[in-house]
Amino acid sequence: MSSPAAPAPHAVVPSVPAPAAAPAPAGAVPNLAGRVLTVVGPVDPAVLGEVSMHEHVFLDIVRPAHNPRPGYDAPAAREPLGLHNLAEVRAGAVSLANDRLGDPELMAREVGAFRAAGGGTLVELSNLGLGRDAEALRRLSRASGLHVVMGAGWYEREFHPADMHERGVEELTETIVRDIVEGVDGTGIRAGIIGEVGVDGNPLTENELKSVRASGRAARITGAPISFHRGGAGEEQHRVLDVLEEEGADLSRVVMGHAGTVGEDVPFARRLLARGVSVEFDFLGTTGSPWGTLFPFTDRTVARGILNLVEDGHAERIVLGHDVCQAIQLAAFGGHGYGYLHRHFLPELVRMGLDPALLRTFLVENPARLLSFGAPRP
Amino acid sequence: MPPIATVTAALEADALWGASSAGEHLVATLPSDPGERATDVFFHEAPLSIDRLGDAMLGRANREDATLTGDTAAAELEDFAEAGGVLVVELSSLAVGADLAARAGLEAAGGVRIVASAHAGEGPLAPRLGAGRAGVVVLGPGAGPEAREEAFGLAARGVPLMLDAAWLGEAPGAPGLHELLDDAAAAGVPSDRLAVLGARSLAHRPDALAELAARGVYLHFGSLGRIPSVYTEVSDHDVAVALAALVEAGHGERLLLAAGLDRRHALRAYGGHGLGFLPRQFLPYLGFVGIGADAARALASENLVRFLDWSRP
Repeated sequence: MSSPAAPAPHAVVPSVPAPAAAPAPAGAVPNLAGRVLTVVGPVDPAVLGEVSMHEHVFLDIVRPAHNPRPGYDAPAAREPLGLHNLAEVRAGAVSLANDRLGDPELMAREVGAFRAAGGGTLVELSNLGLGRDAEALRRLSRASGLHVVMGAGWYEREFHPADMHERGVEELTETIVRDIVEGVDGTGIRAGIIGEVGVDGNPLTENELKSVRASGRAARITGAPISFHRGGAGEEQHRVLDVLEEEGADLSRVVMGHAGTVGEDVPFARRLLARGVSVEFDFLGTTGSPWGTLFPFTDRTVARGILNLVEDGHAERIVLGHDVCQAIQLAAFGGHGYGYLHRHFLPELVRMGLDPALLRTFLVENPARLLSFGAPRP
Repeated sequence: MPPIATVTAALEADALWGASSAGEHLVATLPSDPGERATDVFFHEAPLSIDRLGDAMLGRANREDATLTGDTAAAELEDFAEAGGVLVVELSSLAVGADLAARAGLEAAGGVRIVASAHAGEGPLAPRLGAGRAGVVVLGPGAGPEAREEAFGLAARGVPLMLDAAWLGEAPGAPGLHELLDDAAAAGVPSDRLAVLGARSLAHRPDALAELAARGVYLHFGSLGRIPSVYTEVSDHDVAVALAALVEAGHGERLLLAAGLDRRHALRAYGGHGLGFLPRQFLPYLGFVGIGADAARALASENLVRFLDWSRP
């Protein structure tokens, strides 16, 4: 949903990359300060338009073979997704079909809803172990006209590679830097954000902290922004941010995702935001999850929390996303898809009292600032 | 005569222990208005396919979504029975196509007992009550004074009487809910013959709930199991917390629960949580908010059976 003073239409994604978008030679870290790195190359942040800061479009969130989720082998888990099993899957039943988003034509139609509603950029956070598909993202970007920023780094501990405990911080850092500087999987298509960095905590594990440290170090080296999956539980988030600072990362380019009900605890939110980070409200509009739909909070709770943070003076630290990560969230399978923010959440947030002018802050200004690279500091 | 009138028989209370729901639409054609925009009219008339469920869930009108049939009801009751369900109160009025014969067929086929409702203002109540007919009366603000007087008279003799949720709102020209309860008391209606529908809307107003509960009436919390969105002003969690407070205050025996199914998108066959939400998800959740097993059992089953019992003095 465009704010009353609608931004100029964002520049369309070029079908042929300009020579300047070619990746840097191996070993050289380019200075992308002030620019956003999309799957077709660096762009001026002014062209991004309205940004959803946390999405997945091509995703395989089926747990790896060395750490499978119980139930994957059951016949029911292998059923295609349809009315016959939609209720069970929404309530948390294991479904391989639900855990994979890989149909290019379907996903093009689905993200088209975001584009049609006024969206300009998707931050696609399917990183290592989640089926990241750089070429598919670039094709989608060119075909749809949406800018796409692709993720790097590692997701939750359940998706860490089997040898994560053997890998050192330096090795992990090199992997992230290579994805940003040279491109992903030999495609030359570069990641433009480190994330979603999976840190569940409770407690923080050694591997999670290694992933955090490597992400921070890589962010310093390249100037890239970072987006966290949670970033730890409660006070653990400060420990995580301490590690980033130790590695020289700029916390003003760090997004704490899945912020959920942080707006209900304004004192905690103040201390977190005082570190310089931004908070991201996502997983909005979902019709189900591995844990069902009965929780102590709803999207409306999240909306109230956003209003609390705005009232407390933190509008410049808020970003949003759907975090579509299950097939049941797609419109094709009864979900609310990538158009929910514009069609439902944001209009209702305004009806609940948000100044409409802040929609541009959440969707355009904050993301443009967060996604812009800083100067590299090798 | 056994004291609980279902659509096929009169039953003793102990035949009905098990998960129950205090207010559903099983077979009904509910109001559905798409407005005038061409795309909304198109959506209204289109089949309720899986790719239309999202919009339907967020309130976009669809004719098929608002039409509940014997087939949709049979599938839902079958699932409810699998989840341990034994009893459902059907709230559909004649105005929305209540079909007593269809309900009798559903009960006979599926094993879940159905207590039908007779709505005041749709003709004389007494001939529509009893075994094989309706087992509860529903009174809304639209019923005239004579219908209200008849409903009170029946309730004074033991027939359970549900007060429509509309009484909780501003009803121009009609008495407010507390005035209505005063009128009922004056007519000799024991408070435990009365249930107030729509108590869910008061979940954020514990004082109002406590005030009603203190009058000894039953409080009916419906619409449980709807998948929430940004439009959800009262969540199922909010209801659970309100229930816990009422149980703590000693009103645990006057609380009724229902899924309140009134759209296909809420049915399990269309991706909704259906009737089975009550025993499968909501009752276990009550434990998380501090409601003990005995109180939960009362909420799940005993309270409704007690309310429906015509022999209660």
